[in-house]
Amino acid sequence: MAHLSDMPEKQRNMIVNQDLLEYDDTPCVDGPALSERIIAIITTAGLHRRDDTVFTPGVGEYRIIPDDTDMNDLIMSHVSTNFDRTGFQQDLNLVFPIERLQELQAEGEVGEVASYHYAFMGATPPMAHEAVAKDLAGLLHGDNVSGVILAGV
Amino acid sequence: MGGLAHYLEEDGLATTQISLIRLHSEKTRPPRALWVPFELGRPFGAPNEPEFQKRVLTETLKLLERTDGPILDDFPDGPPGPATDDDGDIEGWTCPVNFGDGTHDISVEDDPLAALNQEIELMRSWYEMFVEKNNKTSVGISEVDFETCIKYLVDFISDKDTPPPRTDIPRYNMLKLATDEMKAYYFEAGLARPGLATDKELADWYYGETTAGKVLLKVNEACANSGDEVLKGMSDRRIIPIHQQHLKQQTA
Repeated sequence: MAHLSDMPEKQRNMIVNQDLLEYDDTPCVDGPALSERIIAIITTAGLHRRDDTVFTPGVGEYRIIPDDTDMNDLIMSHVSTNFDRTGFQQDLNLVFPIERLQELQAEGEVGEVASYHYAFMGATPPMAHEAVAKDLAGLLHGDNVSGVILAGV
Repeated sequence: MGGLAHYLEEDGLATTQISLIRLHSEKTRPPRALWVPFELGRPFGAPNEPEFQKRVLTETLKLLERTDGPILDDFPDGPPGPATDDDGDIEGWTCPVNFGDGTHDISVEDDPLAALNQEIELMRSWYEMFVEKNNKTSVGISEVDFETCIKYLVDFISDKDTPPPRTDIPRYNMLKLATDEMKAYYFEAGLARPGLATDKELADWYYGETTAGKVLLKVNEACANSGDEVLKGMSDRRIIPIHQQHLKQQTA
């Protein structure tokens, strides 16, 4: 299922024909070496803590995942049925690699793991994310984050 | 995903991302992306493969040190794990319940709730084994007790206006969460069985062989025929995944 050619025709057509926004090239922000950066994870897997409100389809909202969260408490309320969840059920790090990032910090490969990480739900119109992203950028700057890794599902 | 990267980078934050669909990254041109040849839902390759996951993570993070964007690099290797046959199946996994004679003495046509509850009870020890082993469960996401979710799904088949257990969220969302509850229970029970199972094997079993699958097809049909545009939209692919759409023909 890794390649479009391996997918069922309906799913392939849905992906190929998905209406995407076009963007001008955005200049890359420069920064220090990876070993000096503070890294935050942003997932679009629809993850959140069990007590958080579930995601609402079509709304560009996010949930906060503090670094000291009990990661076994994270659940997934993504609306889509069309991606594998069995991997997540067995191992959170497959979609939200918090332990791997902590290991890279311990090995000196990255500077620090940020205190807060964030989750969106994919299958949301990109324009719905624009205003929220401005807000989120302020939070990330406030946490001195100097590198963000985004991972969808 | 690509949009978020543009917005954050415009605000002075260096971003890098995993791309599961290369075509989308080619179109949205995020500042930095690593395309990975993994299944949708598995951005870091495979579960319980920490060294491989770390390698994918490291390769993605290394892109932060480059400014020659838009960057779209390719990760060279597929995920680790046992080889599958042409149908995507791994040999050795069997469904969690023996569906032999005598275990399904209640027909889903005659009494869907009793039939479903019987099946759920048959699988309970496997589900509990999964929770004990993994110290977590995705069941409980709706904040409604499991039995109430199951009853709501069955009641919905005969009356789409049956009162939902939660009224603080839209009805379609409650319905979706109830289907997620049931799927999580069955998949976690399935994952507790000896041997590895692929997502497709579990899905073929869940949607195609269980009473739960039969109930879901009826829920899907009720949505399609409801006259409610939102519910009708859900029946397209929100209840039955695209790779199981052929099952809909059996109820049409």
